[in-house]
Amino acid sequence: MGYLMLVLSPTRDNPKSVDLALSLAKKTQRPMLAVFIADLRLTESISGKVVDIGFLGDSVSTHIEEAVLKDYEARGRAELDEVRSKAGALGIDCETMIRRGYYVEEILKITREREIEDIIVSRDNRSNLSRKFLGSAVNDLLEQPPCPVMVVDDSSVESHDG
Amino acid sequence: MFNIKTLLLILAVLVILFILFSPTPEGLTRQGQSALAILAMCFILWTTAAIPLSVTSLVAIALLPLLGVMGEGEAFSLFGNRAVFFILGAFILAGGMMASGLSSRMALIFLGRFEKSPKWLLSGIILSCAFMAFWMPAHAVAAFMFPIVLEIARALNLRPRESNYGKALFLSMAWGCVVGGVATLLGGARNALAIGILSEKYGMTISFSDWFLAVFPVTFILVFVVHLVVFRFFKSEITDVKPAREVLERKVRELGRMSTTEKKVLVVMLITVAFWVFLSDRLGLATIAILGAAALFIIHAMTWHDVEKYVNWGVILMYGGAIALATALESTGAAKWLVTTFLASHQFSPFALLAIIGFISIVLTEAMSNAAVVALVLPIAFELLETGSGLSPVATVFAVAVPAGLAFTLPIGTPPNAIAYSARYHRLRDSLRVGIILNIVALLTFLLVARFYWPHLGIF
Repeated sequence: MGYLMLVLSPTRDNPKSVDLALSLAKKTQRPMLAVFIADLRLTESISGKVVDIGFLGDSVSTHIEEAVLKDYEARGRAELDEVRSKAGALGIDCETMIRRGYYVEEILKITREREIEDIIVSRDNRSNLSRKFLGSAVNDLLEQPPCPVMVVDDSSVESHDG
Repeated sequence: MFNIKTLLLILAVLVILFILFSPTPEGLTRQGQSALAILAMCFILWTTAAIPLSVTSLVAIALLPLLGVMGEGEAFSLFGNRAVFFILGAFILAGGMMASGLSSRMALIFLGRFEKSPKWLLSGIILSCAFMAFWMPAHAVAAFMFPIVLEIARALNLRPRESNYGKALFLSMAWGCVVGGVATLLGGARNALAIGILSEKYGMTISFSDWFLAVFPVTFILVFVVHLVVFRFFKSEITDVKPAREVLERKVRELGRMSTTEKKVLVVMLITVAFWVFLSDRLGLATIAILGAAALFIIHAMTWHDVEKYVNWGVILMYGGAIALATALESTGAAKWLVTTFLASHQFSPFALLAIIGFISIVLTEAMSNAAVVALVLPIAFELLETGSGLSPVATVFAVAVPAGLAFTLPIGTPPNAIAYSARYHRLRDSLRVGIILNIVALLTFLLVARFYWPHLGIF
């Protein structure tokens, strides 16, 4: 039986997505794979500002990027531990992993490495216009979904076929 | 499909072509029209950062001779402006402080005196960031303080985006840097850029100590305001900062004793600042900066490799291009035309003009780089003086450069805000909600200092 994959990241951590993943995994008796992605796109944008606007050298931006990524990963470990203990309490088999990379690329890589049946992601509440013009990693994922994807935000859960 | 940056580039090209091929308005020369077209392009590209800011400057300086605004020799010679060399020297000195570890040591020693309680720790972060930003660019201060604050937040086990204390830690860091960065010519290159534009237009300058004397009261008051705002809006949920104290003690232990290189950099820095304070009238700010930077190499406190690691050479392109654009707007009469066409019918008192210029600068700086605000607003503000308001050019420099440095709300406004935001301990709405209050108080503070204190210095 394939996994139900829950994807968490530093800017997309809606607790509703965790609850949904746990209840779905319990209902369908499937194992869960909880992944935390330390998104490089976030750190690259900050280092771009340090170099392009602040005119500091690469060494400074690399130093900041590394500090941020380490913090994201520490945060990810704590979040995944929480998910695993909740899953354990419900009798769900739950694996966890932390990945450093680009959000969509990492999700697609994992779906190639593992047998994933469904993906649950969450996102911040933003207007569609803002997503269109400023970009949205979740929208990018929905353009090439490797399997059914559920998107959780504060007010709704959208299902997209793979 | 086009992404947003490509669309903005196309927009910039269309705007420049539209202005160039429109009929030349009465009172404006053909060269002035071309200068305005370049200004419009810079406005779009500096605001949106669709391409690196320094590349925009580079394009601007190449367009000046290409569109017949000024000769090639004149345009490129403006890269050699002394403000550019002052900025370069200041960046190399700051690089020396970072490369040797002196900047981190100073911050940790300072911070170590404020580890008694959560409020004291926040106070330590605000004060150490503000103080350090007197001596080096504010964003460099944010860059080396950030990992320290991040470790403190982690040691205190604060939950990102939920913990009030976590939000307060990062915003204290950013805002401390912002208020400290306006106090001296070293805190932000925009200050030196403003003086560069002043000297190109009026042949006047502002000394290192005169700048500090005029602006320090603004910083002094704002440091208190930042304390009040942080304590009021982000009430701490923790009572003990023992883990933070342990982090600071460990970091100081890791640094070990002060190295010879650190001592050398400290001595060079102190001598350079003393020269700026006491001899800049005779020797010139830029000459002292370059001599100070050179001294670091001569006494083997820094290598060229360090400079390459800590300084982005785009800094020369950005500021050289900005000064060239400002000079072109002035020499072609484009800035004068803008003012006479759109504002000639208005007569402003000196204080009203100061307030308007300050307001425009503080609003613009939230959406674009501080230096870009100075480059775009100052040449036009200088022309406004010609309407007979009675405001002095020196006061105008302060009216643009100081509010341009006071960006508190958006990460895009200034690198310290962006660096703090990258930790994601606070949401955008946290800095927006409180930052706007700080913007208003900062502008009012600036105006009060100008109205009641500057007359004693003969500036206003």
